[in-house]
Amino acid sequence: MRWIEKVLLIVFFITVFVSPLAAGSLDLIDVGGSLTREIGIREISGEILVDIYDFFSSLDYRINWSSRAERMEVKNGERSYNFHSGTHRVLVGGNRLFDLSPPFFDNQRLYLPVDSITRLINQTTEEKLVWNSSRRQLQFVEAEVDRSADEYEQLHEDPVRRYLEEEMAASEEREWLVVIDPGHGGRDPGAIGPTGLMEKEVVLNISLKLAEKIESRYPNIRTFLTLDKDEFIPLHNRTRMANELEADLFISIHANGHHSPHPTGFEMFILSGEATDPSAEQLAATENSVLKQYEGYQQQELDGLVWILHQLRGMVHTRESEALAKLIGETMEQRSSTPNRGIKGAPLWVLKDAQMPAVLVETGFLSNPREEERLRTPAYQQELADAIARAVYRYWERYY
Amino acid sequence: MRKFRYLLFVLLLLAALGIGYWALSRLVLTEPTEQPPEPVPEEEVQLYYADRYSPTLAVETRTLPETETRSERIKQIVTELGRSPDDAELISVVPEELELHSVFFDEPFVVVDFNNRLIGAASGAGGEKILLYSLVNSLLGNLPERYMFVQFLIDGEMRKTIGAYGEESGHIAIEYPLGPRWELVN
Repeated sequence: MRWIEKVLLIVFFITVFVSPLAAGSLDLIDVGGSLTREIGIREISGEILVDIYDFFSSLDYRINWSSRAERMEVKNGERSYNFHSGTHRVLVGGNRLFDLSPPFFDNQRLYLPVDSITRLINQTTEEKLVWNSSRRQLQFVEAEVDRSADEYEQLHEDPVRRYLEEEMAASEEREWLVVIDPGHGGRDPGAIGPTGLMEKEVVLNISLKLAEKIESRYPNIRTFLTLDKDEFIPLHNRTRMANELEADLFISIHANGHHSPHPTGFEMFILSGEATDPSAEQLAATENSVLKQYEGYQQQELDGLVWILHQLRGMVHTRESEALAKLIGETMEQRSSTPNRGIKGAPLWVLKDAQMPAVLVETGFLSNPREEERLRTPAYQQELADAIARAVYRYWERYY
Repeated sequence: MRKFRYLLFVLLLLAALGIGYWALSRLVLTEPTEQPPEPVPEEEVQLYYADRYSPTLAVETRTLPETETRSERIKQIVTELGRSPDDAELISVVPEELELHSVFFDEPFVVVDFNNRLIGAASGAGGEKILLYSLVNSLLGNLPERYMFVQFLIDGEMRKTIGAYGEESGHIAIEYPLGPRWELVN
């Protein structure tokens, strides 16, 4: 066997057997019992996620897919659904919102859990779709079948009432969740200090200590780390995790850099867009016309809707994010000898999709030799973690 | 007699050479001298450099030769930002090797297409912010107010960030146009 064949075989085995997102397919069966099509799926921890594109295209829906915006519109006559990765709401028929698990984006495809697909079809159409897990089949069945009174009531109950009841029950059981994001890892070391201390080491240590502190000290608050070891995670996956977990806070931990070794201090960043007088939509349209005229420009045009969302997202949680940032500043001031440089606004990529109050904490300047030494010591890292944990608790006390 | 003739010939030759030299030097000296060059019109520009001691920007006014077009002015500003400021308390954060491929104007946007030296040219959210707004403030601050945003392209392509380890590793989003941040200025 030639070496290239060996490499391809290894890659194949890794892809098929090692990938946590195992690929496969299920059968879509029509009312008459015939196979309509095989639908692509992904399996994550036993949960089956259905390829939305495959599913709707097999039902003759026209599909409009923007991989850049991670948005998909499917349409068949009067019926239409708009899916957007990271958001748990599906726009049905252009005028109704339907709550589901957020679609999962992987390798340029969008996926929904199989129970979400059945719920969506059963509650928004006259058709009845059932999932047969043993046969791995999704089957359309006759909608009108003999049912007991209870089953009938269950099928025809008010979906809004059921949703509100479920939400209330869920909120009673739900714990308050903070997603802690060590800002760098793996192939991305972040800022590097004069003696070589890497930001990724510092922020992972602070984040682990912060999670441990919150979990041990404040029993009402749970934490989730976007990474708990030295590995690379793309920026967009960080807030996606927080959104899917419906977290209450998102805190990204960083260490700063400057072009001279002098600046010191910590600062808190929150998301802020670019305030404008003209409407964002008008600006997006104008810019597309600009970019189309420019010969050097090689990619697709700016999505007006995405830009509007980008502008608005920053404002939705501004007050809460600012309140959290202020508390972090106050508690860190008490614990740290380095100056508080205050709250700064910036169009930060890592925060732009967060659907909850979100703060990026720059814990100090790694470019400053004295701060580099401080940030290296576990005791100082613990002090910073304790301070941020205290701020989270104070926020919880005040706003929950 | 022959000696006398020889001596006379030498004297006449020397005299002729002397007169020739005198005439030539007069000719050179009396030639009209070059006119001093016309002074090139100059213009003041405001350049936003980083403060050496804090993560902020400070303005330095510099007098530069007037340019014929706005594109030339933008290129001139980028080149100047790559050089050291006069004020020792300020530092340049724009890489010297940064090249502006081209500039495109359409109100309210200025689209600037740079080479890839912007990638990884700063670290930390603060460092990236200072670098990008050193450029944005300097470009928009020297253009009419109707230009409100700068759209960055790197080698002709939109990019999410200027992160050194892939566009998913940086901090400030540059896939959207950036407006000026005057609050960063000391």
